[in-house]
Amino acid sequence: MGIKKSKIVIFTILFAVILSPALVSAEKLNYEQILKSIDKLSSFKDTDFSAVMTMISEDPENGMDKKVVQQFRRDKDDKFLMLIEKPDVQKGQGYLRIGDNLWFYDPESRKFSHTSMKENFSNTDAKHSDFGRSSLAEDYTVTGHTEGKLGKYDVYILNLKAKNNEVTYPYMKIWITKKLYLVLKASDYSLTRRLLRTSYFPRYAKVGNRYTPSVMIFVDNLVKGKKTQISIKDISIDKLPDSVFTKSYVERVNR
Amino acid sequence: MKNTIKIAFRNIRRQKKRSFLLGGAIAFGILIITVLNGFTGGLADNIKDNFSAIFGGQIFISGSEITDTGRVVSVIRNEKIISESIKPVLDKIKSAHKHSRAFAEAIFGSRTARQRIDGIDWQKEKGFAESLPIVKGSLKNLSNPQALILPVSTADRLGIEVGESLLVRLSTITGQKNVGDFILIATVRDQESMGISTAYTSLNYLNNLLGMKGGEFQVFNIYLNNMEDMDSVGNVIYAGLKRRAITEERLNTTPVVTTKESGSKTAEIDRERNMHRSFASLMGSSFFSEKNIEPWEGTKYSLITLNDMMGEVTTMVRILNTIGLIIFILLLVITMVGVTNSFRMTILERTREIGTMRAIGMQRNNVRNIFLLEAFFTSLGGAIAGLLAAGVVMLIVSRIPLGATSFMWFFLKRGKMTFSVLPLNVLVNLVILSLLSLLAAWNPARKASKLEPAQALRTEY
Repeated sequence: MGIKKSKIVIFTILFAVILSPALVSAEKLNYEQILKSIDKLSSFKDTDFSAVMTMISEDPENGMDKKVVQQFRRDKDDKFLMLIEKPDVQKGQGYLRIGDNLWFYDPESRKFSHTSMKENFSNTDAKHSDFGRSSLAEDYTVTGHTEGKLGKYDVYILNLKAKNNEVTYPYMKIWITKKLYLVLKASDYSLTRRLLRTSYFPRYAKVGNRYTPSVMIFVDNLVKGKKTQISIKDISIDKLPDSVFTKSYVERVNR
Repeated sequence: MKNTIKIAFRNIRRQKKRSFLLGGAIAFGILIITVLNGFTGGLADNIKDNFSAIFGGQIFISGSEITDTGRVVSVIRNEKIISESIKPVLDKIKSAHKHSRAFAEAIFGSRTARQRIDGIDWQKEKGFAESLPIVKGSLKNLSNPQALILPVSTADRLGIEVGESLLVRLSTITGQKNVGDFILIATVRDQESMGISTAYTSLNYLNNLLGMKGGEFQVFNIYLNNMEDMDSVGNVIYAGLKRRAITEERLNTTPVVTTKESGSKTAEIDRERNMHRSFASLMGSSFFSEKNIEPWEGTKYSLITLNDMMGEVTTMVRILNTIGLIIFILLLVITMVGVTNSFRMTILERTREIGTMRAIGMQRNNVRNIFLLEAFFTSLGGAIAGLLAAGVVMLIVSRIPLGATSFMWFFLKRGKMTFSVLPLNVLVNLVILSLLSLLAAWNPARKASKLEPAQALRTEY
């Protein structure tokens, strides 16, 4: 009987030792898979994307600012164009992304200048990178996870760490719905692990078989009272002319 | 000769109105050219001083590495190559500093301010710390790694007092977002430089926030004993760097003149890229990812001097001075036509007098010299008056405060215009003036000396 018992214990230990990494790996794979699903769900790789964005920024020092921006995206080529339509003083300013390059066009000087995806979009709290395709799986690994509730939604809460030192936010925490893997909230942390920005995505619009946030709120956690709300309307996935994603187009629309 | 001079002076005094008008015209020309020379000289000096204050030195060595993803980052991890390269010119170097630099956003409550922050090795640069113009607070807490010294204008904008804590948001050299906690230990007077003032903190703490290790830095700043040595010392150090490591071509920041349209465009793009790189490296920021960059191994060094950056300013000053000189010469030519006519009139008026002088034994040369000296003294008097008037104008203008927010801030010193007149310029102007005066008076004077005494005495006007 004693031998039998010890055999069971040994087998149990062996079973645990052999299978536990596989279980852990399977679990890890699931979360990595979730990141891939998020990227897939919010990226438009087989169609183009266009929309009109209304951005309302609140800044305790500069007051309130409203912008209307026309957005054109072609995720499969990592291209986008953001054209500012309002206010009138900024009308015609554009941000053109082609691959790794991002240019800012100033209609007054009629010149393009290089800028970075890591910079904020035109004094708002949104980064240029917030307007391109999602690349969570490429940029981050999951370092921790819990489950919880955000409002009425059951969510996974994932802690992310950047895979390399060139990703804008070295650490992130995201709240994802269990059902569709929609990101409802994201916290961005600095290298010193201080909370820099919290993003909320309270509303999504279904476009074809994809989901895109129709409302985004970016809160600056370092500057009290500073935030930007972006509402997105007139969403379309119709094919856009190739010429839209060119410098000459940006210049032409300003004539 | 004494009598000749006496007579020349007497003649000037005799025709006060005419002398005054001629001298006045000359004085006006001298006034214009001197003020213009002074203005351009002051402009160049101020820009040079302001550049020196902004960037902290006169010669700057920066280093860059290229990452696997093609991003160029600004960092020097080992100073050995620089130390060896500066050895031959050590006697000409007043001081050298290793700095890291970040363009950051200082945050205090809901207020923010863009601020350039320099990381300083306080242990090694005690002299630099002592030279800071402290307004409030003290440097006794410099050993605190989080100690921050802010320019007064930034502290006022943030509404922060010495002893309070603030946050600084910046990007690491590879572009990641980072935040540091700081304590304001002192405020310093703003530097008069393009409205850009520098804040200071510990080199190691800033390096940490920038994602760099202790001992690493971004820019090696060199102050020279004599600014005149800038080019020669720069050349020696650059040659040393080139022998020991990969180097960036010396930056050509002077205007490019090309005849072909396409060539001009390419040259212009190169020039803009060079300018962008030079400023970016000095500011300590990494360049944006650029396409078509040839990858390299290790650290690539680049060297830039204030004179390299001043190329366009020097050209502008030269053009302004040339325009000024042309205007001056035109003014003088007009004045000299007046001088020639006046002297012709004078000779007509004084024909009998000349006849008398010749009759009592005065030589032809002396008669000619009287007129030449008269022209010379009139010009000299006008020149002295012009110089004095220029001095007064420059003194008054240099007292007018043009304001800290003036767009001309970069060209000013402490918000005011300054003038720097080179003695050589004054001398050249005086020589030109004297020669033209003598030339203008030469013909009438020669004619006067050739008058026959008997005929001159018979003449009646």
